Amino acid sequence: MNPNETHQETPETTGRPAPARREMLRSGALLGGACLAAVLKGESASPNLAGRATPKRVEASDYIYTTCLQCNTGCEIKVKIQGGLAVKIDGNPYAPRTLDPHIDWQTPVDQAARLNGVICPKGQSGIQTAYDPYRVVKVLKRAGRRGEGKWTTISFDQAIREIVDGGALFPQDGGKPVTGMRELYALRDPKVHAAMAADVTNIQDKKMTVAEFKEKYKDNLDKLIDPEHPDFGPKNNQFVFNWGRLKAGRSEFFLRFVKDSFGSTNGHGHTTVCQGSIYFAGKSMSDQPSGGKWTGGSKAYWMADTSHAEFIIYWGANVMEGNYGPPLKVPKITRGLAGNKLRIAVIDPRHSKIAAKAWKWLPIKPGEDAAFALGMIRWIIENSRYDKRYLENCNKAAATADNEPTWCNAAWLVKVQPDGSAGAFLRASEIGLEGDADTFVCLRDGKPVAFKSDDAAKAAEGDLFVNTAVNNVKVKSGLQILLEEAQKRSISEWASLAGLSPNDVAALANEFTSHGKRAVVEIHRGVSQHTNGFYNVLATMGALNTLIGNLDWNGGLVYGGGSYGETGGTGRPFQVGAHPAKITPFGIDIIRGGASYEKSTIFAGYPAKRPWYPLASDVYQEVIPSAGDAYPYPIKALFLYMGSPVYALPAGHSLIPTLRDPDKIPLFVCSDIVIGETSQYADYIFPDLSYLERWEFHRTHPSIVHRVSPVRQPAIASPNETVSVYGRKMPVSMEAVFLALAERLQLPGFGPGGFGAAGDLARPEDFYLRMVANIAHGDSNTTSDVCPDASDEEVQAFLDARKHLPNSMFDPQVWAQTAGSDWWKKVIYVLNRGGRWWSYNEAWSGEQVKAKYGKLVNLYHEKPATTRNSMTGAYLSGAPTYLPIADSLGNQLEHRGAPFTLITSRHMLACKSRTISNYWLTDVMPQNHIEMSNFDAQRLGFRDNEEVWVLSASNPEAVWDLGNGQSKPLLGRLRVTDRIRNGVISFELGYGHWAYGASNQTIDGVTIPGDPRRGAGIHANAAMLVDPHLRSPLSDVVGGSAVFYDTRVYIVKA
Amino acid sequence: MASENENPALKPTPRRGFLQTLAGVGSGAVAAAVGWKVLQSQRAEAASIPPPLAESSGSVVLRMQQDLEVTLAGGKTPSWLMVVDTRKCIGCDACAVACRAENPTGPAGNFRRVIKKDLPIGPRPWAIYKPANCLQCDDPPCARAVPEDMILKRSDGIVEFDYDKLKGPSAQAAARACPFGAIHVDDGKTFTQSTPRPQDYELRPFVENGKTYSRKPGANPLQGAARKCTFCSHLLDVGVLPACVTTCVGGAMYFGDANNPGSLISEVTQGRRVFRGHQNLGVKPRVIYFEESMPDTPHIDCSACHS
Repeated sequence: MNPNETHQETPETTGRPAPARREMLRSGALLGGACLAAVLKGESASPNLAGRATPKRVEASDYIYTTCLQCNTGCEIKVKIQGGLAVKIDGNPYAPRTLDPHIDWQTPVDQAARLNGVICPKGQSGIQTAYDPYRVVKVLKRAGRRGEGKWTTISFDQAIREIVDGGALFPQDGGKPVTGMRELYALRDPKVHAAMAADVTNIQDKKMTVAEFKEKYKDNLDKLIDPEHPDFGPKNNQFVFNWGRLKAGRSEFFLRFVKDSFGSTNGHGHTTVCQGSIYFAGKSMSDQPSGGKWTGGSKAYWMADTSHAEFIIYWGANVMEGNYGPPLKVPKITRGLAGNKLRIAVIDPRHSKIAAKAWKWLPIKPGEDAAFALGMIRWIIENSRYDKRYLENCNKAAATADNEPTWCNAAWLVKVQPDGSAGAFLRASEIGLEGDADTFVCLRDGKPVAFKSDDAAKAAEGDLFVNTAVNNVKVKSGLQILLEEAQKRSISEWASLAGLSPNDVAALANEFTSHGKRAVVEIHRGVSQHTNGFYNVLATMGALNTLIGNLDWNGGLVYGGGSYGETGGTGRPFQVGAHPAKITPFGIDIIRGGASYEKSTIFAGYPAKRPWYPLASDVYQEVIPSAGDAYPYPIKALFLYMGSPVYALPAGHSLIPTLRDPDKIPLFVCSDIVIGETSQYADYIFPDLSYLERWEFHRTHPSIVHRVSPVRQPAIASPNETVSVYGRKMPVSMEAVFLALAERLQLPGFGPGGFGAAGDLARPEDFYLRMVANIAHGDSNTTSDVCPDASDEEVQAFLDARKHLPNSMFDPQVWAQTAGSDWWKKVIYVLNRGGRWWSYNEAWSGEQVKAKYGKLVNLYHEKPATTRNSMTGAYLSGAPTYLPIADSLGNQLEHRGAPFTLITSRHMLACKSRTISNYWLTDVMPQNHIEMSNFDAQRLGFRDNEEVWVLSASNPEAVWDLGNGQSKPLLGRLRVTDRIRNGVISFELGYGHWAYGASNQTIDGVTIPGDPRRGAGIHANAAMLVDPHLRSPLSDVVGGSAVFYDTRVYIVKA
Repeated sequence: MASENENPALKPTPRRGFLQTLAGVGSGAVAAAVGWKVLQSQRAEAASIPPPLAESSGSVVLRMQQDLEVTLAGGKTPSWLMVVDTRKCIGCDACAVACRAENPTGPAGNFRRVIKKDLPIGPRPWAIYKPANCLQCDDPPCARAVPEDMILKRSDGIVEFDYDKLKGPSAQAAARACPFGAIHVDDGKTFTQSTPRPQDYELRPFVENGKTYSRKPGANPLQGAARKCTFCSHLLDVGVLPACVTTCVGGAMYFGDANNPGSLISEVTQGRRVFRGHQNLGVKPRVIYFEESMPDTPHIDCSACHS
């Protein structure tokens, strides 16, 4: 489409640029060039002040454009280099995340150099993450017991050799031999992997016995973890790679090693510590019918089109502190509020900064989100305020006829089980109509109509409220089931559960349904990090938005504009997935993600020893505890990358005994830039590059309606030691570790011919420059979207900007060769801007966003409805439902008189485990506080700024027991305020460190003193409940979320 | 169910336009609290809601950049003015940290800070955030407090300190004289000097008030000098906006040449209710604040506290 032709609406109706401004944006906008150059010849433009020192003229070569990683928003930034050092970070004006509206991608870099975008205080302080006095720059091997704080520096090559070869590596542990990576690289033939994987499926489906499997693979049984349980997979799976923050590029590189080359199924992310139940509820909402099953859903979620919404409910979403992008969202919000075009309601026990600008602040009781949502749902349905036309559409053809990009299953018929509960959808074939396993049924004027969801030709519209029998099969419609859930309690009862007034329910539901499709519920962790998180999400983000049919509409619920395909694809110059001998790993993974307990060879009734997560993956809080319980099998090696589960997880202290036990985790390797709260227990720490020294492709988030591909690229020299891998020099990094392991293990897929015929993979640039070239190629399968070549001036600016980088990080000849002559100048064009983005107007098309979700969104969820809870054996609900807060066995948590519910909050000056090194930030906020309401403080006799202990049923000592003879008290200062609900206390995350430069470490016999500034404040996660059955952090056993907000605590004067 | 619907609050209101829904809201948020004079929200009177700013039709930062380049290309002496829309400030301190990075300051102080206040108004809490830096007064009290050649009032409005002279007791006197607390005395220290590995980025040379300084041993010393905001004049010289202005997450900052009637800074100040600090002292500040409410927030009268 031509974006210039599609935006003829007046600014009054769209809020988009007026014609005059659009002209300016399109023309590149900046005066630049000769006009300004005349003024800026080096002499001061200041009046009457000749003969003074003036700063040098700002030029494109002063900057390297890269991507922030001070939080997971990943804002585009420009890093100013002076004297070879990063001295200032600004927002990148080319990017929608950091300027609204952003300038056109084609704007010459010498003009953009003077223009700075928006960036938050953490982004500004990123220099201090890189230039941290406590950076690890050489490989460390522990000299004492785990966690003792004693280290020896060893050579990179020695570390790689020991990790691969194993042996008696730690005399201080009694010299017990450690299994090396070579031994774990047991099953090496991709063909045998594939054959075994197929037969494991046959075992699960009862088509093959274990005995038959053992007979068939008798030559390879020694390569399995346990021949009696072939579904555990090969010994390769005993190598576990676990990560904290990992984005595209590095993700493909690392998992290429772990899965494609080494053949372990155990690569697990950290999703559930952030917002797992949002992702996996979103996956369930986006699952599509295929062959009688529900598959293909994306681990993704939706957010608001902030630019155009008239009413946004921020629900458990601290949008002015975090929540994927204050620089992205806040300018749109403040402009909308000040211009009287936007109204905000906030549902949060804590009066956040967005609450301070909101029409209504509803201080909900933590964990009662589904209750309030069901109250709203009841009001909306009973008052007929839902979008009937939208909900009646059962398939694509019906939706298309209404100009609706999406449709839902509100009118689809669901079979009612003998016990009255709702089960699977009715298939047409079950009532004698024609169709396959994906042909469903709705009623139209009482008559059954068979349809397929993605049928674009034959429209099906259905009756919304159905409770009847069809051919003697008892059925209800999806919306009927939702209404019945909502009618389980009165609106007053729902409001009362939520600790709010029924008038609040009505007021919000009324306002929410008064703006057509320009109203939206946007949620975040406050909704999901509960034991009932999955269903909270389905009720809020899912059902409420679906009821008004706002998906893909301007100002409604959007899926995001996505990113350019960096990894390859049709017509793209490089396929970075190309691999000469790729393994597809098999076996149940250590966290039992996406796995069925009932089909496994270790099914032993309910409850399971630990939960299975058939609907989730990347369950962070399960990795180390599962290793501790050796369930389903013991592991041999754990690699942890850029993660700190001990610090970041609720009840993270419960992981420490396992981490310290070499019998549970015989080899523990960390990649980190500082010795952190978790890496302090490692056997080896490899220094990583800081985010300003390395590559990555941060991609996007749902609320970014533009297509965006920010590139993270080396901007400054690394302090790390330089090593040699495959004969190439590079600073130590996670890539260097994997390359060196691959070299020693002689793994296919790395080194010379690593891409097969397509070339070598022997240094990071071999991978990442090819990905940049793919971005330069653009969206089209043909050459129609290929980016221009950088001009000679731009090429020179590119080279000049990188003069401070050592050859091991930037070698122009090697880079040019890697990109190839066809692509090198295009790669420079992308790198000079720090990525590639749609132009501003490209994001919307008429009244809808251009990048659409565009398919079935599930209001009723068949897969959960046909899946059992592995702990109770009961079927899960297929509809959004209200569940009380409960432990893993489904037992409601008892308060035992503890007066407060503990929650956390995000402050813009801190991001969990890594920003305490930023002295510019801690200067503004030297410590955090425990917030308590005035009412509670007066009632219980507490004073502002008073020091108090935080203790709970599972941590009555109020202490972080570090397991090394040291401890950190759960002691913090109160902030008495009106800005929190009575009965709730909160603390800002990111403080209260005991490692990460806060404590002494001894390296090669020299003690490096910790910095007390880095230990200030409280990190009260250790007060959060340990699950009484699992002895590990509390979880949502459906959506996988680690539970932060469901612990009752006592506050005691210090 | 039927009984619930007898509660009028639970009955739906007819769908209506946005402005209509504004009426009658906000009356609960009018109670005055000690120390804060609060006026009734004006939202019911649509006429009193200021019209959307011209900014709603484009990037504010881009517009200001264009204005700056027009001013510099025009060759005439500008009259710099900074305007803060406190309604949009979210108290994030991005400006304060940007300021520190751009104008290297040490632990002793910073040019920019953000004042944050909780406002106990009526049945629910509110909060207000106010960025503060040197107001570049046209009649600066700091200049009156020290000998004549130490502080220069430039023709473009910027109040410029001569760090080589404004040291010791004079620096203390200037800092004390500022009614806004916008001046600090640098002690020459760095944030990492007490750590195992002091960092070079803190020692970088930089231009301020026409001279080059650094915290490096042996360089032009900052220790004992009174320092404060310069409107980033070293950036203005080379066609770049002040650091706090561009980085502002809330979009609350405006900056430009008040002599240019076509500039955004002239546009946004026209016909608006603004607050100038310490008017009773007659200092004539060049940093001014919008004194307006948003439709859903209570109106706050700045002069109730700042008098």
